[in-house]
Amino acid sequence: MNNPDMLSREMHLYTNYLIGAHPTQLAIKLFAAGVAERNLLTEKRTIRMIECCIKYPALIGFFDAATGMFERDNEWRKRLILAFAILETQPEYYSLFRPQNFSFTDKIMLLLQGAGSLIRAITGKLLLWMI
Amino acid sequence: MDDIMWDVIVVGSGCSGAMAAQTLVERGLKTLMIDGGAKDTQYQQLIPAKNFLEIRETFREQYRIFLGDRFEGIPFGKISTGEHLTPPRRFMTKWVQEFLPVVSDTFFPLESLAYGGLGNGWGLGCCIFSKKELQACGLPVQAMQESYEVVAKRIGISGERDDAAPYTAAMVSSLQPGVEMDHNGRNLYANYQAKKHKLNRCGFFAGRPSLALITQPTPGRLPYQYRDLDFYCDNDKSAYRPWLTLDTLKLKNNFLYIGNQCALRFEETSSGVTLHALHLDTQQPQTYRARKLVLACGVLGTARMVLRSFDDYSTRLPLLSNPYSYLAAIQPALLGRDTDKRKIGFAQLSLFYDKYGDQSDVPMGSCYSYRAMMIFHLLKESPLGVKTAYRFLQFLMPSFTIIGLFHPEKSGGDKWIQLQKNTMRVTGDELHACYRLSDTEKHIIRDTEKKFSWALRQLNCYVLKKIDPGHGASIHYGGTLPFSDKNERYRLLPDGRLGDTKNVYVADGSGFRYLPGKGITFSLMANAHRVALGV
Ligand SMILES: Cc1cc2nc3c(=O)[nH]c(=O)nc-3n(C[C@H](O)[C@H](O)[C@H](O)COP(=O)(O)OP(=O)(O)OC[C@H]3O[C@@H](n4cnc5c(N)ncnc54)[C@H](O)[C@@H]3O)c2cc1C
Repeated sequence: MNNPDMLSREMHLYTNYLIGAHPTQLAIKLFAAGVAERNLLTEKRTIRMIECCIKYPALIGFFDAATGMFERDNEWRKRLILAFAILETQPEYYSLFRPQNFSFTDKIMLLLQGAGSLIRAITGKLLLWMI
Repeated sequence: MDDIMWDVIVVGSGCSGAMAAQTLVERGLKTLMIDGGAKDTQYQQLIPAKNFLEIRETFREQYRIFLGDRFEGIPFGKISTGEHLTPPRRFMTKWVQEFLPVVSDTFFPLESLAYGGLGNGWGLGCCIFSKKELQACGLPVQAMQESYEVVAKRIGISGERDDAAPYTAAMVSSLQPGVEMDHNGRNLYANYQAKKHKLNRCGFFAGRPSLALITQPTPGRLPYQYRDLDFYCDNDKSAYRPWLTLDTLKLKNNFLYIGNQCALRFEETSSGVTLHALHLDTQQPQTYRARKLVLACGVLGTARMVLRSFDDYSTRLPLLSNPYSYLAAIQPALLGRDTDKRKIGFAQLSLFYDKYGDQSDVPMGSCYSYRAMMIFHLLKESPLGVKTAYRFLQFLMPSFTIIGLFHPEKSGGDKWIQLQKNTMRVTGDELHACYRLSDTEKHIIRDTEKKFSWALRQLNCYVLKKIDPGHGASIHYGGTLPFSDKNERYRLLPDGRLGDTKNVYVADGSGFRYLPGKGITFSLMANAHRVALGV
């Protein structure tokens, strides 16, 4: 699961999920280096979760919400946070992460996202039991 | 080198050691400094002289600064002491696990073997101890008041003479104008002005912190530039770091600095003191001789040296460390607003709770705004998925106010350190520590936290979460060799001399019998100067 091809596919998935973009070559390289440095592949369950994400990318949102709410120390979540941290420090994506003014619509969207996250978390928890 | 007889050896180059050395050198004494001496060779050259947002927008290698070359800047574990050190500051703890091991399940201190010690990363908050606090510490009032003035001139202090002035260092005569607050501090301060009378009646006083940060040009240093990179670099030299003093001292004929050393023990001889050390890289033994020895290894480092020198592996020394917690709060008025370009990472506002109205036992809340640590730092604490948390945090971030809460600390509970032999360690021993608060202390702390939450609510600032980083996280330690008038072992005489010795002095916080709930480092420096005057 930690071979360069798989790591690249994984980083593509996470980048698309988090910011709706393609990762830069540097971001992919950093993701591979970060996984190795921080030793983020020690559990079989993580492998199963990554396999599921690759097969069914729509599941990422459910795993993300569920691990945030119920398993904050989950290893797969740490990989997702690593991907996020790398993207946050790439100048290409700066405009997405910089401080922003939130319009009224943005605030409503945020509330909806929060509510949706709760439903995804519960569904995700059920999915996590199954794998 | 070994055969030169020095007037004084100073061990340690932190805030205490640097101040003591400067005084000794100015007195004309031939001074040798022995020190750990770790330096950052990885990041400092990398950081461009731009502000935080410019770096974020344009600098390709920013990931090295923010994440670290080994991704050590991404926090995955529990929040603990030193967790908030950014990758460019992590060199401060180089060699520490190996040469200064601490064994404890209740106490997690931060120590340093760096050139400039913990002063490389300190938050610059300067406070003067009140007369009552000085007396409780066992420090001479008059001499300390004079020393505060000397140290303030040396390091440069900015601040304002406002309601917080009696608790900060703002009453020093050489005060420079305070730094500008950002939107976060301004909003809190405006709310304080509106509710001031009510808060004052309940014992709360707020104002600008005094910072060891210059706002006016000074030879060799630039006034503060508002780059918001305060936790990453010191490009402008506006922040006081002990290495500024050391770099200047190194130009003097009567001063020599030797780094890469782990001092182990001292031995008194008929002509003075012999210091035994280990080279940190080669682990070769070294010896140095002088007429007098000044220990400034940080409170725990000094205790190790003293116990080892007396070959004592059974005595438990008392330990003080300010209880500390973070309050993560928001100011709703600032939610979802774009923020100022000019920002400051250091404390914006200080809130003091003088419940008895007599400047004794005053806890302090230091308020910070949050930006330069970025979103990824907060993700692991969030109960939401990463994607949702990212948008929420982006919305919350401009309104985030982090309050670092320091509680006063006196002896009580079950708090001690003890050196124990362990042949597996490079030094042949390890420091065991225990820190348990009594029920009364816990009760007072909980009560104080509630009072602060109330006061913050008055400022339209709402606490979302209390974060307890564990005992030792205040990075303020003391009380291991308490000041006393008696010439006894493990006591310091009022002039800083170690009891039961002739020529060994201690210039760090080991003697403080009490730790006020505020920044202690300005007082550490003033005390170091005072001790060095008498050596
Ligand atoms: C992030 C952070 C923020 C802080 N903010 C504030 C603040 O705003 N206000 C405040 O008052 N305080 C603050 N502090 C605390 C402050 O940094 C310390 O109180 C102060 O630096 C202690 O100085 P010191 O010289 O006594 O000890 P240290 O800084 O620990 O210095 C010890 C020195 O001794 C040397 N040494 C130790 N053992 C040996 C040995 N065996 N052999 C040779 N050399 C040795 C080390 O190399 C080092 O140079 C902060 C600390 C940190 C880390």
